Amino acid sequence: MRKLMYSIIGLFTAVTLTAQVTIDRTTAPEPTPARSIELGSAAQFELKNGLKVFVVENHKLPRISMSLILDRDPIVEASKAGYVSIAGDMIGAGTANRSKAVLDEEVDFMGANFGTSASSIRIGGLSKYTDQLVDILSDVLLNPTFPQEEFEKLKSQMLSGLQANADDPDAISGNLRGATLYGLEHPYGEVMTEATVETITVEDCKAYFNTYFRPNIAYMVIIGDITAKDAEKKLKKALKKWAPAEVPQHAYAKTAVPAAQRVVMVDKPSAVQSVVWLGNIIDLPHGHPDIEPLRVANQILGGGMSGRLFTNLREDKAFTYGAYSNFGVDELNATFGASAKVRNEVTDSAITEFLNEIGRMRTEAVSEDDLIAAKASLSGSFGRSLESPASAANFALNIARYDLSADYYNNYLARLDAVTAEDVLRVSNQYMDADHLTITVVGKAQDVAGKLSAFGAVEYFDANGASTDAPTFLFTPEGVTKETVVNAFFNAIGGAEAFQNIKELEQEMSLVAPGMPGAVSMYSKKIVPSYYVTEQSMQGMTLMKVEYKDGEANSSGMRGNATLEGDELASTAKEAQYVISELAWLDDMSSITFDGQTLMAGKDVYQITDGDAVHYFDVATGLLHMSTETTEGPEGDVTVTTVYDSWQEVNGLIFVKSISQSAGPQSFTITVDKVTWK
Amino acid sequence: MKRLLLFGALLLAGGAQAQNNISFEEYDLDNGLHVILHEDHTTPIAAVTVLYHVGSKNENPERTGFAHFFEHLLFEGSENIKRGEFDSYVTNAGGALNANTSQDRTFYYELLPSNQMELGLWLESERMMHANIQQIGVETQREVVKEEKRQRVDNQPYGSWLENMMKNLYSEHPYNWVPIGSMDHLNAAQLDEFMAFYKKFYIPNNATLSIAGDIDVAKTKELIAAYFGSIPAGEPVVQPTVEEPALGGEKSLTVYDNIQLPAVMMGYRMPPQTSDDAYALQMASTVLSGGPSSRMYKRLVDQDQTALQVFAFPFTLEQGGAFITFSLANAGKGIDDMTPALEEEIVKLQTELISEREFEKIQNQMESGFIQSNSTMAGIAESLADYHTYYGDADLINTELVRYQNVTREDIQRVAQQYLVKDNRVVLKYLPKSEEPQATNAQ
Repeated sequence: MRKLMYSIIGLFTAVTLTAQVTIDRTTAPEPTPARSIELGSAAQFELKNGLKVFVVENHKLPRISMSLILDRDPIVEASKAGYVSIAGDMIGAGTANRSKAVLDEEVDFMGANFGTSASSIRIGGLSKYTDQLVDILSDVLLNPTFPQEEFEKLKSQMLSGLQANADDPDAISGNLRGATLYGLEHPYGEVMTEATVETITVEDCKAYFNTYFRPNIAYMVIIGDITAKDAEKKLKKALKKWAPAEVPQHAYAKTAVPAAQRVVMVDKPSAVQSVVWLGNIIDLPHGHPDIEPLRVANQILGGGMSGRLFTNLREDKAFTYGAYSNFGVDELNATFGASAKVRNEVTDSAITEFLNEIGRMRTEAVSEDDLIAAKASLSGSFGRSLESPASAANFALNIARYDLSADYYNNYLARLDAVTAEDVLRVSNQYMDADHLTITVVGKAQDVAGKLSAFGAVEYFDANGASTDAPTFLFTPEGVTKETVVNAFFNAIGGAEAFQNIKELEQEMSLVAPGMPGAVSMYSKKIVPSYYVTEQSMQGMTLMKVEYKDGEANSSGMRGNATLEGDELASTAKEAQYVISELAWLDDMSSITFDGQTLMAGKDVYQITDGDAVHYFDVATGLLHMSTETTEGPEGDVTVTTVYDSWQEVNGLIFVKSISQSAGPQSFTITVDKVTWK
Repeated sequence: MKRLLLFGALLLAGGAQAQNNISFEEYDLDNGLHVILHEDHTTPIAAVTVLYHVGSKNENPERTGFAHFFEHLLFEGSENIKRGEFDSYVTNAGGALNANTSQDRTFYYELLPSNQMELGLWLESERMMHANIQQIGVETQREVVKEEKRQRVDNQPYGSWLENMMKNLYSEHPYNWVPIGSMDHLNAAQLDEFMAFYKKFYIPNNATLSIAGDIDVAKTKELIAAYFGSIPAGEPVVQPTVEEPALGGEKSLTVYDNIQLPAVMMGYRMPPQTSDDAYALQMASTVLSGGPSSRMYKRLVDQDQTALQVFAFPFTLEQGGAFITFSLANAGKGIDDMTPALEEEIVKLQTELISEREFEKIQNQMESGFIQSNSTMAGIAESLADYHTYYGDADLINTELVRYQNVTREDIQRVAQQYLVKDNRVVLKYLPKSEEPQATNAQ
């Protein structure tokens, strides 16, 4: 007998050897016939208090998970933004029977996991502990105590978390997106800040819990090693005291898309990459027939490694580690969007490629190959998702929550298969709103903002999504050099030549400073290139006078008389040489550098550095807007800031009319009362 | 009646056993490729995976980042797969694919509808047999990897901590650097160096093909022989044997990062992951931070409220690794507020046996974690390959729990005394850039 067995085995082996499969490496192998996929099913029942329960039996592993999920409308938290979230954490912070420490210990002792949120309570572990898990879940649900001490702790953790998020580019990008697409007043756009968290009280948490944690708006999803019958018995007993109550409903208007494309940015000066997201609001509730066509469109555009965005931005251009698109399905509103993290210098180029690819989706019908591939990929992904027993539970839950037909998920693959290239083109046009995109960028504005203006005026926001002034940073605008800046300045005041031809200039000025009893009168006169005098007096008394003549300079006044030498002499000589100091640049352009364009109190300016002085020229008028000069003083460096407040015309040429000067705490204004030149 | 009940109980017990046991078959091809097959028809999917026993520790110190770079490069195509089509074959078949690289291994996988399993064999055999390594792919992936580093490390708060930890914890051993490696090294590398790396490490006798899911084992074996059998074996790969001298005293350094909340990371050198002591250290880490009732969590987060988060975890590797505590300060708290409590909790592990109750708790946690792991075909295929490669025993997928169960309370105390000591550790302090001293700034 044994011998026979061996010989049969031997025969069998021989057969397999001779029937060795042959393969053709040069092409991909053909698939074998596909097995039909099974969606699995969920048992459903309802408790007397209105709680709807789904049970997906799965005995493959001896484990169980239970999730209580609320189905409530979105809530505006306004000045208390964050309170719903803290309330969610507080639910698990202790019960009448178990302090938080006891609760934690019991859960850990079973090697279980447990968590609460604003709209859920979840617990899971080995099925041998099912009774204990049910007991903890019901205790948390029926007897939470909201201890003040735990509340203070959670609040401080939340504040710390906000600080941590302040440097997280993804968190910032999320805030920016919500705030600019929906607005800070909308439940999907509001942003929790230190200020809002500070106003939250433990009473807010209790009120939230008592209002919303009601069985009539709740679902319980149980997955794992338990029978539906057993689950029903246990829940009936454990949750019979959970009382229903009317729960407030909140309706919101649909959010409109912006009138035109927007470019919104959060400046993160330390960023070495820009987090780019661009997209628009869509209106696509669950069960909508456009969902499958849009899934196909999204798959082709940016669904994964084979998507056009990935292929273009990563595999072709190497701009990024990954580029994808995505969309949401929501009863109120959701978004379609595309995103990537790209290095600073290619931020604008990446956006251009995003726009190109979105444009292509809207103008060109996708090929039959693309269509088939996308459908195959989506069906495969659906098939893989069925490996998890949670899928069957999610299907049942969604059917109930969104009032879908009972066979909605059974028909998913058929709906997917029916999508045509025309459908894809239509939904691309409808949901990828290329004319009203919001382009959001979190990155280093100094490096990227200049080129972003090609997509629209850049609006700036802070990390919490609040509108803010544009940051002050320098960038190099196209075609601007120190020569063009200086030329524009002279053109604005009447031309360089006209000033070079001035032989004599005389000015009378008055200086006013806060706390000073009266005005200081100032007088100056120049006879180019050999004479210069400046005199400051008060009520007829000379405070100080400096006079330069033919290579020598003297000062006199309240501090006594002196002969000027060295730098002081040189600077008076220079005053005599040029009627206005800017003329010196025309003789030696190498003394100055053009640093770039920046923003100063809402004004676009060009920045020019001249030794210790920095000059800012108004981009719009060409005139000098401000100068700063740093000099070494006896108590460290002193920076004198001069703002040129107004200008005046005198016989066809433009001269300064008034300036404000400040150095540390001191400040004064100088008005030029009279100018004569010839 | 009683007998019936007993019979029922036996059935249940038997059932539970069967549920948890993962059956598999394993063998070597003549060229040395190790094959592991697990058959499970629950869902019509199959995970096809190949683990190459090459990671950053196999790199030339002048060419760090090579193993990970290779992972990128090997999606570029092969003799029969055009550039850029590797992904599309899989996605068009309704599958998903990816890869990852660690200090010790490079792991590729395809998750496919089971009727497309053969596609996975074709792709992986092409990758092993004659991958297409060309200049254009090198140039492109070089930039992509730089973006990956910017995304994961440079633009990420605390993103550089592991790199800094390993650099200081190991001086001689190649665990000195992390898989992302040096961008300068990648810039300097020439095409022929990439070719040489491929020839050296991407050979069947350095790889494990692990497949799990809705497969017919007999048929799959035939296909494997057909696709992989003719790939020639290479020179056996010799894993590095670097003797790392003792750390010889605590090292401490401060990093100023773009962060708001300070953080402190303490890393202690660990024994290899296969050692009994590594299991004991893993249980020690569970005592310290496994769940909200754990010692460090309770102390620093709940009680003192000096930390927003605290973790202790063994970063286990084939030839060592690091036992790490990571503690992130609560707002307004600093590193000095957290450090004494962290130290005290370590000292307590060294000086007192953990209680019976606590011991039972961590054993339960280990049991629960073990039973609930390996619930997906992808996870099973990967675990089988890992256990085979590092431990030489794929059946640990069923038995590893025993190794935890063998750890005693005394073992936990002993490993704390032996490894979690100052002379064996690196302390990294992460502080906001705003606190950086001016003098340092000027450098």
